[in-house]
Amino acid sequence: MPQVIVNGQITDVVESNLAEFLSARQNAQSSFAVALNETFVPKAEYQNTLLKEGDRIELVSPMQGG
Amino acid sequence: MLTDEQLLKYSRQIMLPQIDIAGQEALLNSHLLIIGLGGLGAPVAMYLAAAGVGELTLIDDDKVDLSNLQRQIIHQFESIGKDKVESAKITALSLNPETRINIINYRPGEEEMSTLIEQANVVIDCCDNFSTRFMLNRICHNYRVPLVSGAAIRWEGQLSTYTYEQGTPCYRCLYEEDAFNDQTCTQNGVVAPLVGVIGSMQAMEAIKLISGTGHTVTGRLMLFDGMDMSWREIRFKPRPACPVCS
Repeated sequence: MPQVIVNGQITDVVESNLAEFLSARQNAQSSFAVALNETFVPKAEYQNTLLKEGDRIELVSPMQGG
Repeated sequence: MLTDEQLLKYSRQIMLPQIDIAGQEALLNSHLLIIGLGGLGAPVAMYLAAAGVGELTLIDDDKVDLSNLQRQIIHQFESIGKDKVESAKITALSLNPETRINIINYRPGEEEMSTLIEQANVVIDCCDNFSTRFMLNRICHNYRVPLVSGAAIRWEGQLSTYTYEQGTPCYRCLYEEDAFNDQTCTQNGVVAPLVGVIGSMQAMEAIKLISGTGHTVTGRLMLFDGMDMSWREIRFKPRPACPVCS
């Protein structure tokens, strides 16, 4: 089972692409930008973005506080 | 033309070859808009006034509250109950009496904000709500006025600069407009110097934009984590279907 790093945590993945990965981990905080290996991935490309061993995924929530 | 007093006052900045006399004159001739005079707006307004920005327009509809003073260091105990923009103006002028400061103590609508932004050289987003953040991005993109965007909560901060030049992304490329999670400092708390870290970097970005030096964080989202004192940087590009800039 490939392992990826999600927000700094090593995680096993069974899903093959980013869209499946995100829908399997749907949490209450559903709105965020997703970066793969330090580059943001547009939503339209989640389905075509394949995950591989060692990928670094960051879920970044928008922040409004000032 | 700088006076002898200005040459002395700004000497430590003028001696930087990247700023020099020309950069200092550019700062003195510039007009910057600061949206929000809370935790981020405090260091932004103080540093930019002190550094010799000629004209600042401060916008905030809030009044100073006791719970603000822990981190909003432009306001003083005596300012409780006053308009934040009024209190901020007094402090900024005490740092640099030659700064021209305009204050707006209400929330301008999109039309009025457009007029204000059109007249500014740089807009600095220090506000506390998403609707204003998305609106500033729309207007700044429309008039191609650079936007320095900062946000802070708990121990974490975000920073990016949007110049709207060809091939660079906007705030809306990054976040969906329905991306409203309710994370305010009122409900989540914020450690005092965090807003100093992010706000100081916003002021630095504005100075670089005005003096035309260095590289801004355009196309890069800087993420700060005060708990482990780390910065992460994520790159992003214009989104092909972005409703604002595509």
